[in-house]
Amino acid sequence: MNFKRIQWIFILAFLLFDIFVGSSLILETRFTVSNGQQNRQSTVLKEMRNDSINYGNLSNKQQTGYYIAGKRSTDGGVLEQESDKLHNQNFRFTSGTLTSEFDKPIKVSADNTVQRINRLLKNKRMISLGDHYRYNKELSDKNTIVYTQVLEDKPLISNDGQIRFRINSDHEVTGYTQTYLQDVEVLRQRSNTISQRRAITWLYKHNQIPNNSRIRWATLSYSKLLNTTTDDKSVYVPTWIVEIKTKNSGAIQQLQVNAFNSTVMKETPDSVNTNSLNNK
Amino acid sequence: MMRKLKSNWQSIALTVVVLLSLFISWIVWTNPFPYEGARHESYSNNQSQYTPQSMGDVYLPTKAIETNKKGSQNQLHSPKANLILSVKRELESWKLGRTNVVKQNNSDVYLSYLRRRNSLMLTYPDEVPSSVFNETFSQSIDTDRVNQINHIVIPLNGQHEIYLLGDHHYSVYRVRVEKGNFSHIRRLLTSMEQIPVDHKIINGVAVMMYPHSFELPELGYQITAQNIDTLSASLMSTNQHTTITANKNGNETTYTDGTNRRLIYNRQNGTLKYENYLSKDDRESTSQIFSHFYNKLTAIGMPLDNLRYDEVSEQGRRLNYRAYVNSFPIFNSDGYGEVTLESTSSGNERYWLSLYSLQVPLPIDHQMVKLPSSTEVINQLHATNRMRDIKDLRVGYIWKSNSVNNHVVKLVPTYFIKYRGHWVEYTELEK
Repeated sequence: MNFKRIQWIFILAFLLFDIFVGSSLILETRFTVSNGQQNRQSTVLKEMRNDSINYGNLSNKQQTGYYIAGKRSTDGGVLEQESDKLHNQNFRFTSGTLTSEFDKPIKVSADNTVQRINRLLKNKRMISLGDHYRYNKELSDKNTIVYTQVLEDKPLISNDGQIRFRINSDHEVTGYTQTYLQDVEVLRQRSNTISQRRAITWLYKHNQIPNNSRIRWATLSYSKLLNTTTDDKSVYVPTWIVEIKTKNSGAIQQLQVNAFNSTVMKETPDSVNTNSLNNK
Repeated sequence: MMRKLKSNWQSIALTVVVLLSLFISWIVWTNPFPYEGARHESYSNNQSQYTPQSMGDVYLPTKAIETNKKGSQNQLHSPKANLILSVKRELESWKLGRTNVVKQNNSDVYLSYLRRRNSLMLTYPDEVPSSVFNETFSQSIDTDRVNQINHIVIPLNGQHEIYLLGDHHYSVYRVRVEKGNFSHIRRLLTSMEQIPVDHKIINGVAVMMYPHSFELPELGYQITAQNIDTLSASLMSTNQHTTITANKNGNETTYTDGTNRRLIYNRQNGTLKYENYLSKDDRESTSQIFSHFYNKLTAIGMPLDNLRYDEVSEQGRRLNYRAYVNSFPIFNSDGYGEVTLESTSSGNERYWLSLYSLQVPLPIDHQMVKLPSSTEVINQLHATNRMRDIKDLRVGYIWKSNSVNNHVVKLVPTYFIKYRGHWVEYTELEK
């Protein structure tokens, strides 16, 4: 056997080895991708597109949250106490809601409304407990600017912690209504929640999103899960709030998904009797 | 030049293919992870459910112990901060390198690593295979060299290495940290509450002791019951067209599919036992049990947010999962909040579970309960002459099922003793 032939055999053998091992490496990686979680979700997203459901960029980032308890500030509560400091306005406090009218309406322009109100919130003589609230673009419109109370870095979407500023046709803030959640307590260690994309695909798979519609926004917020009898406290849970607009009729609906266990939140929260757990 | 190339093209081609093969071999040898990753990935696919808990979240260490510079140890816990989840996320970004054995079969050396000064130790409730460690922390340590892991010791004195400890054979492994930020971990510890602890080896088992009496708060939870129809449907579902029959007999309903599967549901206490007679060839290999059962849990539709891996049987084919709240395990005499999955070597799969689980924590007045030191507990047990049947000791919460109100439960902290293979509340043994 001459040297050339041996060389040939070697080239062939190594070439075969390279092709075989190399392709198995590449195929194995591709196998991972094509079977992955991502892909199944992207199939659902594709189905959604086929049903003419429009959506923006959906984040696949897993977030975290807590079970949180708190109670609405009522007569004699924190909000009423703090309201003693208010000036230049006429206010009353009834059934847990502070309603106020400014003595002199505050002039705002369309492009600085939020900055102006942010400044207002820093002033304890104008707004009580203002540093607990953050502007909420989704809930605001041209007549009402909504600020939501912030719980552990996420907005509380509930009537229990909100400031709603009224804007008149002359671009003036005339007054506001305010509620406040007090005695906020974290009930359980931080844990994972589902991602935005999962919340949307879950809703779609459970036939909650009508065809020919648009997902306007989806935010992770806290909303009420339960009422308890312990000092009238309620339990709040991280929730994906999704607003959907039907293209034909223009109807707008909000869906809420519990971000811990992917279930649709009830319209009226359950009530739980916790008397037996308290040693009174 | 061209002529030279032409005359030598065979040798050049040979060099190229040889180099290419060397390169491919290098990839395969240095990084076996693509293969493993692919396998795991295809596993976690079968999970159909929308649970935010990955396999790594179920197989997590449950205890965090900090040892200070003077050598005294504290168990870290918090009603709010989830230290172990935070450390997990941190470790996922680390790059671990070479692994080697420091020592084996020496209990004194082993104990010194359990008490290593200036360190954070994460402890699993029971041993896990190193492949599970890799999956949880997105690492690829050598699974042939490291077998079972019970503790992860992270030194906080600037050493660029961590230690993995396996109680079995008292194995201590050193793992080089090629990339990783220890100061992030140190920062996580500051917000935690502390309970003084100590480690001892009792009857050949590493046990964590509480040398002083301490206090923990009572907790309130809402009990969630799963629907038996959904649960039985997901357990008995199949691709084949078989009819499932249900027979009522006393307090029990038995579902069978006529061939090899059976589900017995106790209507009185809500417990279930499921059996699936597979052939010996269909059984899952022992090395895949951990991922296999994780997939089963998600397929059954168990709520996983409080559920943690808790125990493995000696043969490694039966795993127990338990509810945990704020880093402490929950025990219930009816087995509520617990799931046991078994795959026998002859091929039978058996599951024990119940409809009830704890999901929503409730605001209550959180009275503090004073627990005695574990020395005191052990002294009391010595007096009853039961010491030799005792294998382990833990602090956890008791869930009493006979509460007046069925929808809520008060969890009370207490000691649990592993007595003849079962966890028993310690006052039960003093009777």
